[in-house]
Amino acid sequence: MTAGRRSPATLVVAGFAATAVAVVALTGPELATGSPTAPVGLPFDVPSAAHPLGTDAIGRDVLSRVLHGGRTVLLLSAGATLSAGLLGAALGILAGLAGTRAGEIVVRVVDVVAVVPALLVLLVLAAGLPGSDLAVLAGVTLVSLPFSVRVVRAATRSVAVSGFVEVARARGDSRWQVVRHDILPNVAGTVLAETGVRFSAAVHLCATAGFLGLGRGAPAANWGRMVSENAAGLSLNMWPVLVPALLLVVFTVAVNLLADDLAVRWGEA
Amino acid sequence: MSTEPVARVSDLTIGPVGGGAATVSGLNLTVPNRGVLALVGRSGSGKTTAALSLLGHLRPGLVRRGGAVHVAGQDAFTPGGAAALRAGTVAYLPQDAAATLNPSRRLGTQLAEAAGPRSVAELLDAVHLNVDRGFLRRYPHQVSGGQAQRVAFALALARDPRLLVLDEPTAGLDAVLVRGIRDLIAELLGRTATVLVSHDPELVSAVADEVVVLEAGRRVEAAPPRRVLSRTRGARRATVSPEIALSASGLTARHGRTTAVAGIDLSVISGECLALVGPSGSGKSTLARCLVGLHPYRGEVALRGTVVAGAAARRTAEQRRQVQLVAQHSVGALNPRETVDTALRRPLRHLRGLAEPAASAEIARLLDRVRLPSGYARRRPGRLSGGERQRVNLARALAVRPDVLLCDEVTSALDAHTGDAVLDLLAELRHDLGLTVVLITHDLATVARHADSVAVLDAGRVVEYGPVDAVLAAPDHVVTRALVGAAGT
Repeated sequence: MTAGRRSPATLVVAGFAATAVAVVALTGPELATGSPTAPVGLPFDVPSAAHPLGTDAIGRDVLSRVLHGGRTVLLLSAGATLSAGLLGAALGILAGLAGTRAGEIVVRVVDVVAVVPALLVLLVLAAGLPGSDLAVLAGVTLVSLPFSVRVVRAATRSVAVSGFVEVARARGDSRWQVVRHDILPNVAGTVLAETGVRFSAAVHLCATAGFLGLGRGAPAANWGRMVSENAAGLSLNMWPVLVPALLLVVFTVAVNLLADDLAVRWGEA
Repeated sequence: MSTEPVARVSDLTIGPVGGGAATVSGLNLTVPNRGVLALVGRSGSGKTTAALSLLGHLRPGLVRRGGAVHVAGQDAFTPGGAAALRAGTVAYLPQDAAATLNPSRRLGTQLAEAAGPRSVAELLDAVHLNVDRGFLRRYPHQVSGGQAQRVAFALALARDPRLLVLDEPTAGLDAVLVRGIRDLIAELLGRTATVLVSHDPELVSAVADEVVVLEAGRRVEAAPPRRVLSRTRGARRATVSPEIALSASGLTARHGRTTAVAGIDLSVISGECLALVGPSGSGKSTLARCLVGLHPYRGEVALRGTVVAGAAARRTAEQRRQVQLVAQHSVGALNPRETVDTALRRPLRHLRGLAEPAASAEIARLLDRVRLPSGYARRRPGRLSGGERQRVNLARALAVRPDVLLCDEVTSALDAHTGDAVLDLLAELRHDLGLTVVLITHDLATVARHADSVAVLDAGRVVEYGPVDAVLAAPDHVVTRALVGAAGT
């Protein structure tokens, strides 16, 4: 796994970038001085001293909207990743330890969910529960879950046939004991790396949900939705599209690098 | 044909990232075109580290401190060079070659993918594997260890590598297959330059053009000859009572649709050592797993005359305590994420109900019993050598004070010297603790030295069964004769 090792400099930059974006997103609403929803000027006005990033499609201050628009995306994707990660680990380990037939059934059920396009799941849930962030959370969790289950099950199966698991089972250790001491620590590296990938996907999906106007509706700010709202005025003022898009990209790439490294370190510790 | 060497290692020094004794130091090697270079030395002498450097690979925690490795003109320690080498110039087969097979894909699929324009039959033919069509539909875990190893060879050779790196190709194989693999390697050697890491003296002397002996990471010249098969017998204890510790009658077990164990009757007298020998795939390991309740079976298993339930979970705690499994493979037998302390504490708490401070005292006693310093309790298996891991493996089984130890190929991954030390320890434990031992092995030297009786298995049946002296002196069955013959070469 030496290939997974990044240089320390890369990791410091990634750590700094991820933290910076997270701070902007989480504390932004407190830092913002202006209202994210009140029109303050002409649409797509270029940056000025009063409005450093200009104004958006209906003349609102872009800086205020950027500061207000990250929290939802980040919290939703973190929440969805966490719940998909936990559920996926639990189901994956159960399926991995269950007999071949029971495990296959779980995987088939999970496959049924996996073949439904992610956006379709999101749209259906959002249609059922209009304007609800919870629907986005549930949707993103649901589409992330199948991948987690499959990866964790495969990792579990390879650990489950090793000598130390056989010895523990022959000794009569309870299933929970085996999971806690033998399975979990040995699949944790895989779960960590996998969760990193899922998190990027979740950020992407939550932003897409915002872009499509799902979740808590207008006029609330949302980095994903800002891109769609202001795409038409890209030639007049690019900042309301570029800034939220850049923040999302930097954040997902940085988190991925960090999660990969964490998984490698776990394997070596 | 060029006379330029395929690989050149110059002044290579590799050591732990945080400093400390070098794993390989100031090593110089030249692998001639089509030549065979053997690296020999004890466990931990740096053989594998040196061999892996030919692929530009360093195990996690190691760093190159100096020197260079060039293979076929590529610098192995540049990212581009390493990638180019691994893409086809160098083929590597690790100690447990069968583990390189993808466990979730059929053998046929894996072979077909590697074969490219050639046919799967051609690949299999090159490694002398005669199989039916059903074989290709199987998954790696459904074939014997020897067959899986041959398939791994076939895959490694499919890309016509310039250099073949073999890490302990004969470790973990029974005598018949070892002979087969030796022949196979001898045949392949005319075609590909090879670096052979081995502690199999017969293999090395049969095929190597040059032998480099490593000790503590340094090259030392002379290789001390070592006689593997010695028939010296350990002192034999007279059995006091003829109580049957463990017996099986009419034991039959299946793997899917194939019968792995067919109607086996066996019994082990208390305090004795019964050896189970037989070729790969003869059902030895399945039999062991049945005895400890890990594999479903028909028939009966009895402990001290009491018939026990088939599954471990349905046996009483006392019955589970009586028989302990000492698992195969010194690596997979211990949980890599668990310290020695935890590994020993779990059985103490679970089957003996020991709490602090009694548990800690017992752990220290157990480590002392297997001759490991008490400081080892804090270590994880990654920081133990193969022999040390096997001692911990033994200590874990001893923790619950069992009557019977089921040792499944406990020396197969160790060099001869370390393996002997582990077996001597086992003999001593047997003597001191009055343990009954079932020793699964393919090594007849071990059988001759340690066992009282021997059962020879073939295709899931016991084909010969009796006192060691009688069976080895006058082998009746063709399989026994093959094993004895292979061990004698």
